[in-house]
Amino acid sequence: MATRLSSTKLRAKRIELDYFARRHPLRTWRVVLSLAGLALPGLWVTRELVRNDQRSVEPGPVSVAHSLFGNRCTACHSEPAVQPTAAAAPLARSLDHPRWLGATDAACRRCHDAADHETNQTDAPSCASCHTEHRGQRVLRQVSTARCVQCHGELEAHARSLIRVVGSDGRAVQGLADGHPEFAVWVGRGPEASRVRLDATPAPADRAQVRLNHELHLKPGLRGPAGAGGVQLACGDCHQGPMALSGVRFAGTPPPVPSPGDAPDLIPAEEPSYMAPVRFVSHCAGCHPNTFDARFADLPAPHDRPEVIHAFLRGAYANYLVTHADELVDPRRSLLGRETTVQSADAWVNDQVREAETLLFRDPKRCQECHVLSWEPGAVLPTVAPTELPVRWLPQSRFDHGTHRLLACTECHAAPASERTEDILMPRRATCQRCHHAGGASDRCSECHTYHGVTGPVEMNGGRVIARLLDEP
Amino acid sequence: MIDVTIDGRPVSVPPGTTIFDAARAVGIDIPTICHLPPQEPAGVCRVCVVDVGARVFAPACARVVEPGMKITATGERLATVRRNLVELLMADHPAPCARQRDTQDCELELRARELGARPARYRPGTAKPVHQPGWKPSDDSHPNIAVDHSACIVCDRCVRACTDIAHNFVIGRAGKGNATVITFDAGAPMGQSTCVSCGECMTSCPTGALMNKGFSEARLPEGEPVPVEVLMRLPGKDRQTPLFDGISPKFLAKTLSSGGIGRNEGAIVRRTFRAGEVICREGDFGSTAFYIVEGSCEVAITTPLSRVRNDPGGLAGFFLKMKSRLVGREDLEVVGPAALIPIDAPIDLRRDAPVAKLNAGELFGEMTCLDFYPRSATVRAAEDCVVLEMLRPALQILLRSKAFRAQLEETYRRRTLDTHLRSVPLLAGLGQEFIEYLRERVELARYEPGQVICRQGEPADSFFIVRLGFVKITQHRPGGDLVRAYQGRGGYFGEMGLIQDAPRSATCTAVDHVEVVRISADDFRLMLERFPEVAKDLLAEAERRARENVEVEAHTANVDLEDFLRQGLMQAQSLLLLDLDRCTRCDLCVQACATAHDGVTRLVREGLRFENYLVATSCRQCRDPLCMVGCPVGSIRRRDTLEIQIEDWCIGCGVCAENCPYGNINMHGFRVTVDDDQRPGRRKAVVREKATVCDLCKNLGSDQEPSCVVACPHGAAIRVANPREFFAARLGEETAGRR
Amino acid sequence: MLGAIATAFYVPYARQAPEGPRGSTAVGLGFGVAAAALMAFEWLLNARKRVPTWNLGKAETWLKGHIWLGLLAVPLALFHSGFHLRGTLAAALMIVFVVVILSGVFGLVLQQFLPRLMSLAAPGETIYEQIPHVIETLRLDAYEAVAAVCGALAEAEGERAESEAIQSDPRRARQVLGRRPAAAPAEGSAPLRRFYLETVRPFLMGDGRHGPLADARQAERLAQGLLRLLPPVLHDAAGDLIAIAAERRDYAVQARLHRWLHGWILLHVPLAAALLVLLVAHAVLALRYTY
Repeated sequence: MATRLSSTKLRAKRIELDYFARRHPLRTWRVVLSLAGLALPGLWVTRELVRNDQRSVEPGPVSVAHSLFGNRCTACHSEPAVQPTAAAAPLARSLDHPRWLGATDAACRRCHDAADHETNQTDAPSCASCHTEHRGQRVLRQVSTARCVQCHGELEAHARSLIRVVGSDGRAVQGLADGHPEFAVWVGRGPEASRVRLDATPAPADRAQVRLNHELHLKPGLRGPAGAGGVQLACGDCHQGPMALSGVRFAGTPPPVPSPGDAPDLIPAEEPSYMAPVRFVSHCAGCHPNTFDARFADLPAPHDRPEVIHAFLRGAYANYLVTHADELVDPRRSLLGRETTVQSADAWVNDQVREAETLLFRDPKRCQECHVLSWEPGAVLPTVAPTELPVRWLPQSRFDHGTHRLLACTECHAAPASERTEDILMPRRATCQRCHHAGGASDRCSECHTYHGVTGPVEMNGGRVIARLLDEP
Repeated sequence: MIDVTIDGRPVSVPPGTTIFDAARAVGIDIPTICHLPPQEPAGVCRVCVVDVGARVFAPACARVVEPGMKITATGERLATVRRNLVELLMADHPAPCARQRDTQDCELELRARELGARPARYRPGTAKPVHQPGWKPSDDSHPNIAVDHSACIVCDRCVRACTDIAHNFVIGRAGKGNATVITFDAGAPMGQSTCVSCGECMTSCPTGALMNKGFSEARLPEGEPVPVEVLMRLPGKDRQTPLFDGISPKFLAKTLSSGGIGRNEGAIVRRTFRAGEVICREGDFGSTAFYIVEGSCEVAITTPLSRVRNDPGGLAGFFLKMKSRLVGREDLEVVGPAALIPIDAPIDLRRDAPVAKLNAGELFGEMTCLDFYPRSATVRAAEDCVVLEMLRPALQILLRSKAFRAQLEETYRRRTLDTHLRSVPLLAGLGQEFIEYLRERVELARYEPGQVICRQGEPADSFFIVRLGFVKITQHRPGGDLVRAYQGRGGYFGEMGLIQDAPRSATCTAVDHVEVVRISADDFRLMLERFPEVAKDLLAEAERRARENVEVEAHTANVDLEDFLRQGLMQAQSLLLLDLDRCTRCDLCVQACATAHDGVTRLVREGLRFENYLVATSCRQCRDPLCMVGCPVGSIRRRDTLEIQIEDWCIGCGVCAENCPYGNINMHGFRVTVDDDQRPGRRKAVVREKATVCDLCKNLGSDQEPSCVVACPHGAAIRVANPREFFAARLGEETAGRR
Repeated sequence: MLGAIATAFYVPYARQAPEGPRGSTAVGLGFGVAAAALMAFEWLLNARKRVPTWNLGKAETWLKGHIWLGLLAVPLALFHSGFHLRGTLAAALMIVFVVVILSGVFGLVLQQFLPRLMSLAAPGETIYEQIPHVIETLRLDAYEAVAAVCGALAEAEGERAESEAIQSDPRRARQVLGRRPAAAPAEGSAPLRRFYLETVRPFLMGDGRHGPLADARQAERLAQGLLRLLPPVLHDAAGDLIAIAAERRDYAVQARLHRWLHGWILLHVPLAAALLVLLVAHAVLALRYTY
């Protein structure tokens, strides 16, 4: 071994001097595979682009609502991207080119007429800065808490003038669990309306002018409608949802958007997720019929203003005379042996109406069971105090009863213990936080609060055309 | 330092210096046979004995100086002893041996003559190594080297050369006493041994025991033999004196006949060439010289210049090119004998137009004939011409002819002297009339291989320009010689001593058959007086060389040369090492080398290992650059920075590649366009070979590390400028372990 | 260190970023650009290797940069993605990236010990690309070693023709050192001839992993047996054959180790190329459809 190949020269002479320039399997494979490595992904990307199927290159699926655009990126990405901040101005200029397509606010506003958040805010963030598309966020409305805290965490910097200190302790709100004050309900109406925290002393009182004892209504063995035995009422017997589309309009321009400072009852209940208002006819009349005369057992008085009731009664009795003319004969006269007198029909009706109204309006078990009536001096008919039933206690937020339907109502609303109308049965923050906390149900701001002015009625008949949305020819 | 006295001359040398080296330092040359620096002294011949005042004489080569030693190195007693020793050696040596016959340079016989040995005083030994059946006194089995055991004096020089220098471990000794012989692989015929034909043993052998077979086997091509009578009548140049004037016809006949000295039949033939025919081609091997009897020839180098040296590539090169364009210079680096290419003919070729004419009466191919150099140029008959083609014996006879020599000298003086003088850059400013003056004054001197032309320490008395052959210029230092340069045709030496009026700073030895032009000190001084600007340049040059000497001294002085040489790698002044523990064999070094050098690698990632290092095949810049001997056109040289460089006019003969014992010079084919022989006026692409060698990427920028080192991503490739220092820790451990 | 800085940047960013960390926020984009820049730099090593004469620092430094910056790109890319795989392209990009990094680390690990192993296990190694060629010369060497003592062998036709072609061409003979011509058969050389024809030659023709000579110990036993059969004069030739077989074994080992040592590149480099394409596509598309 030592004798063979014993010098550098002998060893080196065996080598072909141009070997490194020749092809060799290892090197050839490396080149071939490298070219393949360049070509295959290139082809794939090109193919996707040529097929105009850019879903594979998008960073994530679009939200559910936008999935109708399919692979038409230009539905949103159609405008030159311009960075809004001044610091990025040079960048923005270079980006202000049709090659670089951003999803700008203008693109969003082609479909969405979203109002600004606050007239007081110093700058309005772009749509996409909060509603991040392509991030597996299926509902773009679910903006994260951090987005809100961006400004609300230091409102001083983001509001032109600080109109309201948020937070019971003056601290900035960082989240539901961090700095969020106790819920504040709107109490009163009109100029006197004010927000009172549920934990304020004295506790806020419901100023509704309808007397109701929840505790009483929930007792077992109540007398039910005529003929029925003992009745046990449930919450759902009166509180039914979702709310009827009372506020939805089908045409016309939206009304001016009211500011949150306006009285709460001016804010239409637009959300289908609230409980429908309790209606006398549907929910009360079964047990509390407006009967006024045994002769009219099947015809209760309407649940309406006294004037309407008065007119109804007159009509009812006049009609009654047509079939019962003998009622004009006063039976009391014949009883005295005197010749029976026949009343004029008009007088009869007046008498009958007076009697009925006396029953309805004066009897504490009739209208006054719930309503507050008052008589102007010399007035025959009473005036019904406005009920002032609040449509929404917490108009700064939204609540969907539907998603909470699996819960017993009494988990949140302490109705069984409420004997007075003044009791406000809205749940406290802590109640919500039992479920809504970090690690539990979502505690995002956007779960309850809305950013844009959503107080306007929902517009139907939006005017978009399917063919355009789908970019059909 | 140790102070000793040698022949009454005090000298101070470092500890560990041998008496031999100490004596050389003061200019006393102790004769020796078995000691051949840089080999380790063996002390077997004892010819170098000196008197150190002890009971017996001590071998100067092996004995280390001691403080206060008083050494006698000359004298009658010593001369007698030495003569006797040589006579004893001569008894076991045929006189003349084959080498003495062939080239008259058997060291033993020269030494014997020098020491005045009397012939055949002792009977030759008869003992033969009987334990080896089939052993023959002459061994012809090797393709290149002829072994003649009868001429061997067992000086051990080949053993040391093979073992210590070339690290081949082929040659050893066998037998005892006067039956001792050298053996190859412990008894094999040399041709069947593991010999790698490096030739190190052959060059170190002092006698004809190991000889290049090529010498004796050259044959003439077909030609018309010329009878002696015709030869005798051949007219010389001036048409009056015969060519072989002064040579006895009898001697001529005896030399050139089959019955004479032998193998010389047809040693001289007459050949006729028609115009355009090629007489010899550059790079070919040959063994003949040509004498033009009639007609004229055209001599040219047809291998296009270029390719061997590189422009810096890549970005740096681009900038350099830009720079040179802006500055308006053609070539940034103006080094070396730029203008003339020396060839094996009476004239030199201009580098920009390498074509010249040779006329009747001129001799070419001398070096090829005498020393077997490849042809240095292509010679083509310019018109129909008659030439004599001759082997060495014939040429040597011719050269003995006074008339012929005079004619040669005259031709040289007339045609080449001024170009030679002017090719010495410093003498370029000489006036024409002074050259005319010198033309008649200079002396042409011939030296045999191994002969010392001038010796370090001697007073300088002349200036030399090489006309023929190679001169080795060595500087002696304690512990070994450093070969500073090999000067080929057109090279010059000896000016230092003259300018500075100091002793010779180096020893100049003829490597082969050398002819030099000698300008006497008086003429040289006259020249300095007449041409002050030349003198100024010369002084500046001398100062530069002196400075360089100091630098080289600093470069090598701190190294113990003895140890340096004991390791095979230590001949090297620079090694490319690959750390095999880190090297992932990615071959980037080779690719880098190829990229840096026009797609041709000068590095082969293969070789022997030392510890965990691979000593890659890349120039080691040997202290004795064997590659530089034998270049027929002088295109290989050592730069001031010590690296070997091959100039553009390489003709691709491959001598340097063969000479390099380490395979570090490679022949590469380059595609070039040349004139088409078949279709005149057209050019065709051919592949011409050129030698390439690692240039340390100096052409890429002076301070950059070699590309291979830079390109290694694993830090495995390193250029070690001082192998001994690099391996010092390892070597230390090793020796400690052995003890 | 840089990784620590990047992490220091990332942690508060990830904590405060709405909807979690994303690639399109300023910080996320910064991470993305940094990671892309690093990947581009990683490719520069390739360029550096292609133009080795550039005076741009040692390749060793470059490789170190390649390794460390490549590893640094991992956290940056992860920070950029916010530890999510969203979107086909981005996910493909990330997966390819991870595979590239893993293959690189794998190669790095191999390079730590395989070279040493190779110099131990294959002391006679040569240049990998030249192994087939060197084996050719081995075959020739073996033939000539045998032919020099057994005479020209008609059975080894290819080698004989080649050997004679070289012998007869002085120019080639000059280039190839130590050539020996065939000689007349020596006495007692038949076992050597048989050993060559039946064992050595098929072994040299084969892949170096089969046959009795493929195992060092078995080869040693064969050698001992052969030497006993041969006269001492032929021991050298036999030794040559044994040595040649040993070299062939070394080359087989070397080739295997070399493939391990460099095979990972076949994964690393092409995937890195793919990575580059995907990276560009990702960058262009992400910036084109910017917010």
